[in-house]
Amino acid sequence: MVPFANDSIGGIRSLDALDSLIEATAAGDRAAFGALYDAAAPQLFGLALRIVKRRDWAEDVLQETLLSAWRNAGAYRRDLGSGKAWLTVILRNRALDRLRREASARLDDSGGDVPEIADPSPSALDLTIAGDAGQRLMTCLDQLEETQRHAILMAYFDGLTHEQLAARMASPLGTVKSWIRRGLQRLKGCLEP
Amino acid sequence: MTDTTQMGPGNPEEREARIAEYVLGTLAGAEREAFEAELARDAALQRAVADWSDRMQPLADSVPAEAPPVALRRRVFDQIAARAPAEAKPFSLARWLAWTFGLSALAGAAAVALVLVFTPRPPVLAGYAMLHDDKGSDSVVAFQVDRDRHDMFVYASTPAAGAGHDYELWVLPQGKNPISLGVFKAGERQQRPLTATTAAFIEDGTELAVSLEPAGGAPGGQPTGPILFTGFFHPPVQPSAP
Repeated sequence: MVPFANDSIGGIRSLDALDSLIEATAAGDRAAFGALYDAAAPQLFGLALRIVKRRDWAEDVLQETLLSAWRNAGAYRRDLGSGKAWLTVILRNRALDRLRREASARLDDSGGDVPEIADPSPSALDLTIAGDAGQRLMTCLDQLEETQRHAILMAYFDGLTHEQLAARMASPLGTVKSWIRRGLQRLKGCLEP
Repeated sequence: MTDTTQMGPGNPEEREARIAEYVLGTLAGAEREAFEAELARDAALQRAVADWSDRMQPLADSVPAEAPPVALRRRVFDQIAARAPAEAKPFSLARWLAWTFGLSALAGAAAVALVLVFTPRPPVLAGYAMLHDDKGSDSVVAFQVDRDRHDMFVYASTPAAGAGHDYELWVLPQGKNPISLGVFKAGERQQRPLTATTAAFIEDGTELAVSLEPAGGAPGGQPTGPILFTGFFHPPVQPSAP
């Protein structure tokens, strides 16, 4: 995978710039919003595609995310986390909403389940994560049991609920829940020295 | 902020697990709604969610970037043109939650209580400037100075300066010669110490400019190339008391 450092934002260390662009956007500065769009949209679009899998849905999700960022930039506070994480939270919530809306519409139609996904979730070993925080997270993911890691990454990248994960992993719901729960617990313990 | 806030049922371990599951996205339906209702009432919970979001951010960073269709950018800009520009409103936790986490509605009293918990803090920045060109392009150079005026940050979302050239940033104090803040590259955030002498010239309303100079910067310490971007320094838009 292409490390983040190669993309248009210009590397992990440049990302505080998003914070100031969001703040300038809050002041109604359209050019700053344009710069924010150019800096952040490709990474956000990549993530949207990864989660919802369909280009048309990913475009909708990205558009909603950016409009939300424009309207609500004034609510961003850098002491509550990076601008990038703020944008990512908005995007993931929109993407999950979209997936779940489509899934329930499909259930109403045909009783079908989540669509088969051609592109399986990467194992932690396939991930290339730039930056110190990324390295730490990689190391900690590697220390999880395979099932824990797999469940967490599928949930994050494919937007699956507990129930959907249980179906995908052909395991009882309770088992999958406990993989996730223990995995996240260990992850936190590992990330916090 | 206090940790004694009532967090609803469940022991601390259970609570921590649900925070992580919420951020991961595995909570769905009623479980998710119940969590969001709690989140709306609970400032500490909301901060913990932000912490988990930061923790998981490297996963989002690992996904390859992909350029969205050009038409999408136009659609977004058409839509924001049709709306009033974002206003600098007082910070509202309710609004932050609503927009960040997609909460549709919040009890007014709870929201007011939380806004009181989140009293405004001193500014993190002394101020910033957004430097634009005069062609109406989307290029922009963001310049900011930290609260203590010890450091400056420059980020240019502009085309590269080109071979043999550098962008150079200048302070233009009134009635004085321009003072160089150094050269910088497009697309990289740069942090540099700011001398007290220079910092003293950067105040509310001070003009800044970027010129195109030979690689390494203007040889004589004064701008020689065309002025490409200009803007004015001003204090950050701060949340004010509700």
